[in-house]
Amino acid sequence: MKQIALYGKGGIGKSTTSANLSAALADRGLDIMQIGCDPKHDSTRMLMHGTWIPTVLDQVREQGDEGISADQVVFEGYRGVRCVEAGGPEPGVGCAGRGIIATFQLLERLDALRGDVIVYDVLGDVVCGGFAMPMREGYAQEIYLVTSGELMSLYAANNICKAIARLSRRVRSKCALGGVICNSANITDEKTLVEEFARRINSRLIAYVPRDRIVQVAEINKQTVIEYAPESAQAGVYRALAGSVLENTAMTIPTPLDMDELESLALEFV
Amino acid sequence: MNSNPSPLNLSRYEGCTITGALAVSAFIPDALTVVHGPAGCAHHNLSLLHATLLQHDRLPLPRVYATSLGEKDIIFGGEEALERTIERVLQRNPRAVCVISTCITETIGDDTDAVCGREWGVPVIHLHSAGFLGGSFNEGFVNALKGIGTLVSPAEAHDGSINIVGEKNLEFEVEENYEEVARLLGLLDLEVNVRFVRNTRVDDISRFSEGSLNILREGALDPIGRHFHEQFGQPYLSGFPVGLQGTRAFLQAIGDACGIKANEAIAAEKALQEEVAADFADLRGEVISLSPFGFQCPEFFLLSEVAGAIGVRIAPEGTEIPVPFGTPVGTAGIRRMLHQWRRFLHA
Amino acid sequence: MREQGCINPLWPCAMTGAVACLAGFSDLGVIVHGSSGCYYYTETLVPVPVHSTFLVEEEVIFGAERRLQEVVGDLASLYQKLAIVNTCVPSVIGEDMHLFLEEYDVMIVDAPGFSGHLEDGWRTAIDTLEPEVDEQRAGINIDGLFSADPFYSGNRMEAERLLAMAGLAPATRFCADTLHKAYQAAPVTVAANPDFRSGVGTDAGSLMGIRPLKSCFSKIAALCTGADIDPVMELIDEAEERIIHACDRHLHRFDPPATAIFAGFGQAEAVATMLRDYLDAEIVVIGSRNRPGTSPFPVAETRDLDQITDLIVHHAPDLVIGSTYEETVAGRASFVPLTLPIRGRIILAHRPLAGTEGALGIMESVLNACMDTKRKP
Repeated sequence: MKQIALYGKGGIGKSTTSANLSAALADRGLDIMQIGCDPKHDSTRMLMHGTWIPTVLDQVREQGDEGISADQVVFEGYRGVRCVEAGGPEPGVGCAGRGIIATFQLLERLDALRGDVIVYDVLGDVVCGGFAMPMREGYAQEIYLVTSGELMSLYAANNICKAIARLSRRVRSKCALGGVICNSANITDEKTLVEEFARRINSRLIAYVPRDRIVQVAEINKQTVIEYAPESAQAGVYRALAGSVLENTAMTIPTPLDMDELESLALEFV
Repeated sequence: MNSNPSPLNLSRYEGCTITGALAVSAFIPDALTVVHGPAGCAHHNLSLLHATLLQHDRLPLPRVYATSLGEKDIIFGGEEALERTIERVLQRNPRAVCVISTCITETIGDDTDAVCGREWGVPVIHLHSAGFLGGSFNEGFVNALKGIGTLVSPAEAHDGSINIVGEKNLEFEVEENYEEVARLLGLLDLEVNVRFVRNTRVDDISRFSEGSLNILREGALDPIGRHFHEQFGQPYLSGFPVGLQGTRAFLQAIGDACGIKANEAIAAEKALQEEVAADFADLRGEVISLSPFGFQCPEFFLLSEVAGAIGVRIAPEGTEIPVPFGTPVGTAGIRRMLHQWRRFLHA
Repeated sequence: MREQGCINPLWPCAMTGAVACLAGFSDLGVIVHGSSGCYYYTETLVPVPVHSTFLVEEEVIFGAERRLQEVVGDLASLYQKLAIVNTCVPSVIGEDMHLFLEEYDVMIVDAPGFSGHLEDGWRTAIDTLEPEVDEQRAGINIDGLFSADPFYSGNRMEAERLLAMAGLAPATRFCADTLHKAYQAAPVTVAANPDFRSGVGTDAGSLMGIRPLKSCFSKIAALCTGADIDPVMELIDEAEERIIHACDRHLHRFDPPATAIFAGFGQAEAVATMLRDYLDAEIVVIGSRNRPGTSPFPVAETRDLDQITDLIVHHAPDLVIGSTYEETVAGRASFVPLTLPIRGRIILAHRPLAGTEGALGIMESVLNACMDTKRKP
């Protein structure tokens, strides 16, 4: 069972990327599971044709720990992709990180973590230990950073490398960086910039996803691009990404840059 | 996640998993325990042990280490503090280290499993407690027993060798209860293999799977009974003997589980119970009422059975006698309870 | 160098200190905002009822607003005001409790366990309370009344007795009083327990130990016109005489005890000084539970039973003074209880450590413990 996690700055298009990746993998006949690890619980919507599936944490709150069964938290979407949303508290209250930990514990208890590939879509700011849960032993072995060429987005991706690097120091850890995915923000020389960034953090650019109107159109129609426009160029990009991820053997331990290095990199491309 | 679908959810009030976990790990003489959290958590529970063991005339105090997390560790993560503490603990050459997690370390998301999973040279076992996030006392206790179970080496079970599982180390009559069970086993020529866990050394713990039957202290421990059944194929009995008929049934159940004829033992026990009843013949005709204080429910079956056996009537106007705090175990327990009744009736 | 971690930590956490402090105000309801584990322990230490939100995991993840409102709503009518003390997890979550408890009269005390030790929590609670001095208020405040201290009732009575002898009334007792008195404190304060000081008013000194007692009442005389301290000074002299006499007799037969004292620094110093002055005792070490000040005696700051055991083994004192934890590792040494916890004994009388009765009591216990022939090898 392959387990991958996508991390990156909020708003960068992680969920769109994850959903399309899951859809593309499912198109190959694989048994796919996507788990949204974000209190905003909007990771799997396009796979579920616009439905907001009930979140794990809300369900437990209502039914109690003992009363939950897998079919109350795992829902089948496009091509049988099994979708889960962890959920969590509203902004400014509670502890979402603990919520992620509790979600994983429940999914284990329900023996729900199965499939050919599990895709963890994790919220942007990994601000406490709980959000590193997908990187713990027994879960994602491959991390993919989603970024654009904008400095702030690279900064966020670079920051997450610190977590990956620290976790990789564990003797039994199998978690490593699989690659960098660029979601274009239409910046000049963006692809080259992100490629260079990836190289400098000891990884590589595994996909360059252009900005394309078809993504918004598909979204309005409550579908992934893979489903809405399977012949489109964009769909082709996602299918290629799926292939790259499946064949990927080049896992590395990232070397995060310091702020100076990052800024001078950005300067080179301005 | 422990949740609160009902405002009457009692699990809120049942104490901390740390206490349950310590009630196991602090009773392994050649292992050491680390509580991963602020010093207060270790202190609170150490206090409980201190008070309890003093009351029971039992010392010395077990050693409990704390990672003593301060605000800085809470904000920046406590895993390094845990590593340094484990290193310090290992200098004392324990045979095993038990790590108990607290609510705060589980909230900030310290990966205690990963730290324990490093190559330390001796088993470093994470007993899954998580403070109140893991439930209450009983969950801590059961998870600790499961965790200690990882020290057990698989082996051939020996006929006639019985394990005692989940003794309540903080209970006042813990030794007396054990002796009564050992006596009953002796009636069937059976021996105790391992007390899991009560002052049991790591080497002895590893022989646990040589036991052919597990006797659980009480029904609440069924999850651990099932766990060991799955792991080592050991059958289990759910609880120490309670009541006159109950004690005889206990002998029958053990006999059945071990393929031994229990008739003679049961007859002998019955005769003993009749002797005990005869010793309290002076109470015949007395009237008692039973008062539960605190949260005991008047365990009516046991009490009315015993009262019936000695010709005592239970009625609201009777002399008030408190329901025993700990359920009496076996015939010996009943005899002690009757001494207490006599004292109340003649006071 | 602070080695990581602590073995058998002997001193309660900051949350406990805050709860014990606030529980001393009779019309203030104290709520331990956390789970039952934290509640049960503090509940055993504090002699008045305290309350709790008894949290479960769900409330950690989704926030405790509803639960807090439920508990506060139930208790609000029973007390003048409510104090909510944060335990570790709620303090990390950092909810704006003021906002959703707006309609109630509450104070929020952020003294989670990880923020420090017992006396730190006491201090945080007092600071949150923000007591005020009323310059016109007659009488003297009595400080250092810490409800988890086994001697606190005795200390209060003894302090009031001595003040009354000097024609002075007790003003505000910190913390064993009604809440509004905290905002009408007198300008001058004496401390019955030197390790728990509120910082309110002018500090006239500590009531523990003969010398500090004398110096304290002298200062009171200087600060309060109308105080007649002569009867008190006579009483102190008389008590000192009795102590000297008894100690002299003791020294005819016995060698002075080499003594190790484990307690708050202020209390330990007060006892050490008396033992040195009257018994010519050698103080081999003071193991301080809190941050020590400068001292003529050898001092180590420790709350770790292993370290304390090592100190006792190393110094091999004849007499160990501390809590019943120290009693468990005292070995052949005589033992006198001084600080919490004191377990395994029935305590019914309101014994003080402060004042003349306190000094007499300590010396009496020491002499009896040292004479206890059953302990001799």
